[in-house]
Amino acid sequence: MLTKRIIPCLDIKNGRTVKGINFVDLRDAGDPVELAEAYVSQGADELVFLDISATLETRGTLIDLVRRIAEVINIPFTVGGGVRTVDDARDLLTAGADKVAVNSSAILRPNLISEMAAQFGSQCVVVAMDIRLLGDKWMVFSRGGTQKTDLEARDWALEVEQRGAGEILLTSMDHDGTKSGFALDITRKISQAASIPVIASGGAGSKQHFLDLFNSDSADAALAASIFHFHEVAIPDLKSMLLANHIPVRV
Amino acid sequence: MITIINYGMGNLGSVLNMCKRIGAPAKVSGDLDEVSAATKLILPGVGAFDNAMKRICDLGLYDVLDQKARFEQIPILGICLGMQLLMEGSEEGKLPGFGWIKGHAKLFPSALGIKVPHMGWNLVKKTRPSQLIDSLDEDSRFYFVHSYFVQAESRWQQLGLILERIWKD
Repeated sequence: MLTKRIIPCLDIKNGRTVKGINFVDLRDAGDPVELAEAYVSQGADELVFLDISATLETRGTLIDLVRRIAEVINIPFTVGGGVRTVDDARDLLTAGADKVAVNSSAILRPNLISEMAAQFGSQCVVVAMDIRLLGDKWMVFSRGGTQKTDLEARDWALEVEQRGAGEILLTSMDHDGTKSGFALDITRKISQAASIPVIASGGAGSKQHFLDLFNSDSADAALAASIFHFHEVAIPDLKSMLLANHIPVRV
Repeated sequence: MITIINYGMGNLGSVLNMCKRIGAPAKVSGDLDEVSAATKLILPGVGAFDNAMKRICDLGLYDVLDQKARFEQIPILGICLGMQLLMEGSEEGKLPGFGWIKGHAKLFPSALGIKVPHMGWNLVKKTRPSQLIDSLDEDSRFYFVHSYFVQAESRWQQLGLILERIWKD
């Protein structure tokens, strides 16, 4: 049986791990290579690395950082941030990434998803979606959550699947950094509508939140940042707790 | 020395790092002379089946690899799409594979009711002894990320099965 995946996320700005609340108020969370190594030894199932500055000037540094992290980890490694072309994606894969995440560029030019899928296969293409509840609709935001789009979350999820995405990383901006639990309803809705795996992100504050997520069968994986970076929840404890509650996890 | 074949499609960095980690000297190369001289090969690959076969042919690697496999019979490890290429073909594409192993790569049928790509850590059931997998524990987990699976014509050629509710014994 496939296990539910626990995925620490490294948000990177200028070569350091940072973490904010609702996508702003960033604070330093340490050296990404050291964190990555620590997460591997604690039993993380995958690692996600998002370059949130993602400017052209920092591209070279980013590739170097991806290479250094890839050298010290032995779990699947998803890298995203500023990927605009198939060549950008290839550079990351060559540097040691296993999957590449796209967000704003895919909204601007949805064909990027199909191009990447044709070139590297769907299993390699993660579409990250940042969503917020506006009125009674969950809407997709681009450019690190700064720009509202006309896309409804569920529609966009189905479109990216149809275009060849292999996985959806769904982040509720409303929940991000709040430690109030995952956005269960919309995550479950999208997870059930899509036939590709969905990673829930945003809002993890306690072990119970992961259990709620998996018990309600809302996602295939859970991603979190601050609770792991700041040692509020340890991955081994989280996994034992999930296992004790009959959620299949890799230990 | 293991030669990891670079034909422009693969998470080469990841494969090279893993060889380093387990202490296996390895290098990445797409050079025809270097591949011809290789004594052990890894054929990695992420991407679409036809795309991969086409690139291998375009780069002139097809004949070299066929020679290494069929005549020199050196050890070759296919990973992911690289493993699918060892078969006669795939439901994903129209081009023939190398055909060193009889059988095809097939898409997970939707009737299985699992999410595709099959993604995450799963168990593998050993179906026959082999030095490749004998030392592994039965409860070892492997990371899978794929939409197609290989079905060898002869069970004898198969070392293991993904153990999910997928395959009911």
